Amino acid sequence: MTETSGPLFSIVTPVYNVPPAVFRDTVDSVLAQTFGDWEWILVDDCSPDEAVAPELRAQAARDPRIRVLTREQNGGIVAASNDGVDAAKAPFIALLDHDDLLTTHALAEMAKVIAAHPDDIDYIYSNEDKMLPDGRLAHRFAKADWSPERFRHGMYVCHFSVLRTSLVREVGRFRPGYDGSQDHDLVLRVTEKARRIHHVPRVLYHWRMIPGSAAGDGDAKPYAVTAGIRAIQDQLDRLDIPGRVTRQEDIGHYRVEREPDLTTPTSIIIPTRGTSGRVWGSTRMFVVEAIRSVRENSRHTSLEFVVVYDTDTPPQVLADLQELPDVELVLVHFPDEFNFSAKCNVGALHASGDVLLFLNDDIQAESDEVIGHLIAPLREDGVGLTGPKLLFENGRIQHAGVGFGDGHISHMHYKSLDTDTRDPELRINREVSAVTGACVAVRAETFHEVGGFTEQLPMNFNDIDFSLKVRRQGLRIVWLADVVLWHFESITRSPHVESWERDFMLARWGDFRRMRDRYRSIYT
Amino acid sequence: MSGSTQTEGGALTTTTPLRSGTLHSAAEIDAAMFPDEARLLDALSTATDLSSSSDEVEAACATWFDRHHLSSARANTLRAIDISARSTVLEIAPGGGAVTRYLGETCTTVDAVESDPRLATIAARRCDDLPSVQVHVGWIDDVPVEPVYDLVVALDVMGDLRHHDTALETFVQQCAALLAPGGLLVLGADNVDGVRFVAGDAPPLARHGQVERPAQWHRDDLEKAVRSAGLSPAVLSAFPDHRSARTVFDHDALAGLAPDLLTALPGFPSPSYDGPRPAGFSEASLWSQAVARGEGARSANSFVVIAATEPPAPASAATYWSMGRRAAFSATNTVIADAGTGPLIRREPTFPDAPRAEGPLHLRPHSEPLLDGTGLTGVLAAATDPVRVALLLREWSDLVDRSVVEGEPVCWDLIPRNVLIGEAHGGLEPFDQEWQLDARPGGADLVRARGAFWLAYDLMVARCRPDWLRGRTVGEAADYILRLARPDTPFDWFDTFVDLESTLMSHIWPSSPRHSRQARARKEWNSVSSLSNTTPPEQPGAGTHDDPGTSLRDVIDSLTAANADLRAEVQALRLEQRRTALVHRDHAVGLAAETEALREKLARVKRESRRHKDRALLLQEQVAAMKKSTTWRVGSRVVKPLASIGRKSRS
Repeated sequence: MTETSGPLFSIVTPVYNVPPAVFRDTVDSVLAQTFGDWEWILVDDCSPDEAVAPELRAQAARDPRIRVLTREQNGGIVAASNDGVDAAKAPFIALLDHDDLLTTHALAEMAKVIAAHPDDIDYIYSNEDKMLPDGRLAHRFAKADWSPERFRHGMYVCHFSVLRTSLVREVGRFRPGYDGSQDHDLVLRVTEKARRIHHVPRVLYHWRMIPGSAAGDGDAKPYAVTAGIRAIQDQLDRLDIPGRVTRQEDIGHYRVEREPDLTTPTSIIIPTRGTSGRVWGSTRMFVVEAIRSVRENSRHTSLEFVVVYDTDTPPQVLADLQELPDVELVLVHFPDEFNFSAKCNVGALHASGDVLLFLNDDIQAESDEVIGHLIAPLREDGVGLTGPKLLFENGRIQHAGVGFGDGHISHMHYKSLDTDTRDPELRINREVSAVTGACVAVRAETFHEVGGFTEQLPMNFNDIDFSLKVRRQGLRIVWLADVVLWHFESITRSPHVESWERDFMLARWGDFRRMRDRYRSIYT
Repeated sequence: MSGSTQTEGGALTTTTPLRSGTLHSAAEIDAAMFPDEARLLDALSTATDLSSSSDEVEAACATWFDRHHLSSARANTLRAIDISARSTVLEIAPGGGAVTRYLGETCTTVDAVESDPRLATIAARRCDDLPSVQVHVGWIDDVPVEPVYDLVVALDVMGDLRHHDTALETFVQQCAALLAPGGLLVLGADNVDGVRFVAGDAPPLARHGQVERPAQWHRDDLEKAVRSAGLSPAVLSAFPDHRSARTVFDHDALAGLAPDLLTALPGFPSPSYDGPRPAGFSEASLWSQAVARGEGARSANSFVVIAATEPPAPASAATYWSMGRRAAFSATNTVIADAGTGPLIRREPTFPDAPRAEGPLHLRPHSEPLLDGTGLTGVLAAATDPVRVALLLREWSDLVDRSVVEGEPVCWDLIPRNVLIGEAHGGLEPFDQEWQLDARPGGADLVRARGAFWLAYDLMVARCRPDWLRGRTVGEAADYILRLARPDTPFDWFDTFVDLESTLMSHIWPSSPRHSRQARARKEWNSVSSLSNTTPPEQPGAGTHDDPGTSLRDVIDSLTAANADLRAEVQALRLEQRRTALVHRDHAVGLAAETEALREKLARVKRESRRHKDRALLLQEQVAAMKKSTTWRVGSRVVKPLASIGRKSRS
């Protein structure tokens, strides 16, 4: 850092009626920091408990870096926090609640991140766990790397958060009227403008579970929920994303419903061999039924279907395709030997749409307006790919995003039941490491920038490779929980992965067995 | 008349005896039993623009039935008659209300009686936002007999006449009794002797409840019926029929003014009523024969009878319309006599109030004299001498060059179809120049490209295909023609042409809200491209021409074929090039990623090796410290030597 005078961190802690014993633990955890370049601003929000004021004074006397501000009248969490922000002298603000604990390395870890990116780091958050009433640590929460879409569905970054002071002031500090979700609202506004955001994948914060506090109580307070909905809706409005925010009360998360995009010219590219098969007891020509179901499901005004077919495709299939009513069809003959990537690429070269949607032929649309909803997020800056929820014929999950790292490459929540699930990961839109090529939407320019699907992988992993190439461009991959299609791939299929395919991935993308899956969220 | 009320719009609506009665229209449409009617109602319910110039409603029409009940062309018959002064109107059998809508927008009070309750519901929905219109379920028998109407319109009643067992004379008398003094009755009917019916068509069924087809009449029957009601008739001819007229004319007036137009105005064959039609449908030749025999006045497909005590003189000899275009591009053309210059054609927008169309193309309202001459396309079709063909095409090409002035709008439609070889001095004369394209560079080239393409098409479907085009596709023929007109044409002119043509066409034709204009343009692109790759079947019995200079033709043939091959090859290469570029980008991205992965691995290995080195150093220090200790020194200097001495002595 260039600023050598003054502390690096201003820890801001609003205090209200904290029990002295609890508060002493908090003070101990701050004084035990291995990194010493900080100031601590305690804002007493006019606590009615008479023990609080003398306790604060006593604790402040222990260290000159502790400052106590006393409010004349009670102003609530927003006003008290803003007093702290105003008083902060350091370039970074660290938020600490009056009853929680920092790990001894917490500030040192944060300082290390700042030292690595001194000029543009604007927001840092870490993993956290909870301290049970009996003092044990539990519920370790390993968070995903920065995921704006996930963040609109819940305040997952929470503690320990460090924000650049100047940016907090620039966006207008905590906003009155958002009590209960004031931190969610602030981080929404800060991250919109942040130049760099970093996640420290280590627990740096113990959140004390006290019955009645947010940490102990699963159900958030109703005023906090309405404030949260407003905060997220505000962001959609600021970013010009047409959509609506609601609450999924049973899983304690929000839901963002975007307006479907019904006008951007879209090409749906379907590689096929014209196979037929049995689904739900009757035989169907997969590709014909796939196109029929998608066309009937969507009110999109500029859809083009590019069917890339092998030489051995039965002529009846091509004839039936041409009979489909109201379908704009482009038939592309693919004479070479089977290569899924090459078929997709050739299809894309014949497509005229601004958005390309790659679709397997053995699918069927389930939720309303699948196309419009699937491509809608691509209008947002920074979104590279979108993928839907795919279900096996028996209703179990085929695709809910693909994990890359944590030891393997694998479908998330594979074969788990989708009905009545209370697992938020299956009910919220979120960033994922990769999506399947069975159904993926991408802007045409992005597709061409990354060189399409790699033709070096004709069978497996070409979709994972494609996802990673898109992410390398700095774009996010968004999985959409409310866009649902059936995928009639056999549930007993066990794709055989050749060792050279694995080696290719290892060489190009590094050792996924040693890497952390950056977009996985694990709550124990 | 029982009084007047002020409506929301401010127009004065008259309260007619029918309105004070109890007739009403409210019918549910059972979609399972009447899917066609349900579809119409649905189309109107979802449309945001119900006006008679609504592109949305127009694009929702898929079948003849749809068009018959919704299309704005239904009102063309009335557009040919000046009804602006008529304020109180009765329409009998309005069907889905396409004409009613037009009347409601033009007149202040419109009553409509429709006997099919479902169609009445549809008509009422169409006029939902027009306070001037009331639609009732009923028949003329249900209208209180009082002479209150300035205008009675009965364009599509011949089916109902049979259904209600009403004689034509009775019906006309009933109508006459409802006319206010000076009132007008407009009656439409299929002609028994109409050429389309002689050729084999049957009149259509427009109402699903009726089983008998509409009655057809002779011109004499119609005139007699009108006279029996004490009125005088004026009879106009309509093509393809009086329901959706493309042209309406006063036969005798037109024959006197511009006899050539008698055969030029009706387009043949008439669009079918979605029913089967005999092979070799000879409507066109029947009509030209009838005109030649002087029997045109009794042979039109349909008649429009204007009945009044004193029928007004027709405003023009003939009126014709562009069909099927977007409202903003729809044109009404009237043929009028002008004492100074001879016959004039006046061209005006059909819907002056329609929202301005986007895009670079504009309709040009203007008047032009009717020229004497022979169509260039016809002359080219009949030409046997390639030199003559080439000279004519050069002349046309020069005409195009002269017409294009830099910075000025381009006469986009200056194609051979719209060029005459003038009778007077043999030079080329453009006509029908209703289009203007915004100024752009290369305007002459694009007009030439269109001209060549559409001339190729016209010649290929001409009754007698010129010999020099045999065995070619439309695209090849166009290439040949263009090269004759302009030898230095670039080989890839077609790609430029088809892109622009499809874009402009997508502006001209209405597209449904289900599809964007870009989607429409892609559709046009596909149809022009596939048209260029086809060779239309030759008309049976077409004659052949004598073979002119074979050598020249062979050379041109082989060049054209080579050109087509080249074009296909270029297209394949372009695709291959794009694919290779894609694969290269993949490799580049992959290599960059691989380098990053290796760098990370290197950093990790370095970190590990540094850790190992540190560990080794630490161990070395520990060993050194250990060696300095007293225990080590005593052990190595005393204990160890003693022990080895001991071992030696034991051995």
